[in-house]
Amino acid sequence: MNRITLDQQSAWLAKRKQELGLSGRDYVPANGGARRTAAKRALLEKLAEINRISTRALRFVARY
Amino acid sequence: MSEFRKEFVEALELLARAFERVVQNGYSRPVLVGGAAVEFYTGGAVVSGDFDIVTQAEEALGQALLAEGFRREDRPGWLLRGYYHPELALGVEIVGRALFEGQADESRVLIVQVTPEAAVALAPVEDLIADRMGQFASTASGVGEMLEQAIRLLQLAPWVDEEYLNRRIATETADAYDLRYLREKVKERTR
Repeated sequence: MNRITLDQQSAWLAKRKQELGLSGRDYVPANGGARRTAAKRALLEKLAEINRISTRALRFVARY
Repeated sequence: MSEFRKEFVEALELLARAFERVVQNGYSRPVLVGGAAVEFYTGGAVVSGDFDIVTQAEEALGQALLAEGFRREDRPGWLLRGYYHPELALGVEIVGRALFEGQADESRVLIVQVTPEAAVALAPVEDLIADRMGQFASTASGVGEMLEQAIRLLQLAPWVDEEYLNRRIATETADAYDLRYLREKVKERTR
């Protein structure tokens, strides 16, 4: 198995993105969700509900 | 500055601790697949909604997640494969027992040391690219966002085993596509 640290991966990505002229985050479309299972939809609904009521600044806010 | 969003790193730290518990109990380290693995390999070019995990130690991982503050998605009528963290709004789903239905070479799994004490395992980038190509090929018109993800994964990978990747794309797309096709799409993006 190959091994890497999070910092090593971050440094590689920063260098490679600069070469490619890429910057920022979230510029590639995520899964459109058309083929989500019922279990996945239920989990994502739960997360959306938590996001609506949470006051924690650093929470996992993601696209649903 | 890290290429990863803070909440993504925080989530990886939490999962790494849970994965260590599973390993300490004598099981193989669970493996991240799906969108979260794509977010890792692309440094957030794709932002994921939750964490999909493959493991043969479903019960041990479930216990480890509960110990880290997760709760089980236990509403009646739903499969008990989902877990959520009530403070972080973080979701985890155990999606299977074998990596890409046993098609992936598990010796290629990437171990990512998240903290000095804890690591997560990620699906090999070649298998993620092939999986995206498979989803792209799943409709007659092609699922555009999946091709786009495959292109970015290939562009941002430090190295890929081309023979393995070509074989896996062929498998996942029922021989409809190959690495040459994907390389051509990457070239189109850089012209």
